[in-house]
Amino acid sequence: MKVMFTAGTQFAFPRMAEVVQGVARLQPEWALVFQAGPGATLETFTEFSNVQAAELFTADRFQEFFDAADLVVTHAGMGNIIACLEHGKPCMLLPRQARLGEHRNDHQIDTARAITQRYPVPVFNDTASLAAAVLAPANWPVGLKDAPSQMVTARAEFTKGLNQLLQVL
Amino acid sequence: MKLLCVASFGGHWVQLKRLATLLDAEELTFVSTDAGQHHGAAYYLEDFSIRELWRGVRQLPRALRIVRRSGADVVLSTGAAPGLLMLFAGFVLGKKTVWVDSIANSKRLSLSGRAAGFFASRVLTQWPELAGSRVHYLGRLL
Repeated sequence: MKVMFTAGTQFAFPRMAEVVQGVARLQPEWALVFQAGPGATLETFTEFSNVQAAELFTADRFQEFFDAADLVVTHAGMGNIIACLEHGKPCMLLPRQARLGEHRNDHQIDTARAITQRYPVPVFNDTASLAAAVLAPANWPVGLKDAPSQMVTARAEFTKGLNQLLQVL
Repeated sequence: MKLLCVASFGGHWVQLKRLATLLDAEELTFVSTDAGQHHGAAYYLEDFSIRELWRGVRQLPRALRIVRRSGADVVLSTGAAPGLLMLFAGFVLGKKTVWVDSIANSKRLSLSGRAAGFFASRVLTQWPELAGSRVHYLGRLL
């Protein structure tokens, strides 16, 4: 299995790093990629030959890993979520929490809640349950295959409404 | 029609870029924040939160200049506070203004969106259950 983990481009995310290590330890055969975010501690990953970790990958490298991944595990950043939905890529979310100093506020929790209402994207609050879910491929989210076409339909309706609005304003 | 499209860098910007591809306009000009992190916009503002109103007020002259210079007929924003400031500048200069609230706000409109409700030509939500007399639902990005 190929699993990509990403903490976005703004800050490190130690709880995500914990999940990567947990999965790496129990599934040495899997190829894991981790974009850990600026300022992340990468030394802890040198003991794992099955993990490619970097603070930030170039956009091309990121895209390569993303395309190859069987599963993407991401912080609840809108850019990564939209990319997963647009490509029908199975994904899981670990929202950053303000009380743990992971972001300025809890907007990632709101984002995750909103997304999970419309698409089969599981959201996790703790690292243990996320790691367990990643380690059980039989239960990975299905149904994301339909996300791209669902989105095209939703946007077509929005386009019509918006352009009519711009005419009559 | 010339549109000035505004969003803070991050999730709001991602939504704005998707939204822009849907719009039927003769000219789109982008305004954003975090000039050091991307080059996608023609104009930049300093990022601030709606709770730090003075940092917004201080940038009002700049916002007015951007609206004038762009020659826009409509100012549209997906958030957050800097988008609200640009909408207000558009309102002051007699332009049409549209607020598209983030898909993340599924329970309640954002504070900036509610503030936009006092002067914007139109406030849109991406959740039909949040639509009411002053807030409209026309569709969604996701």
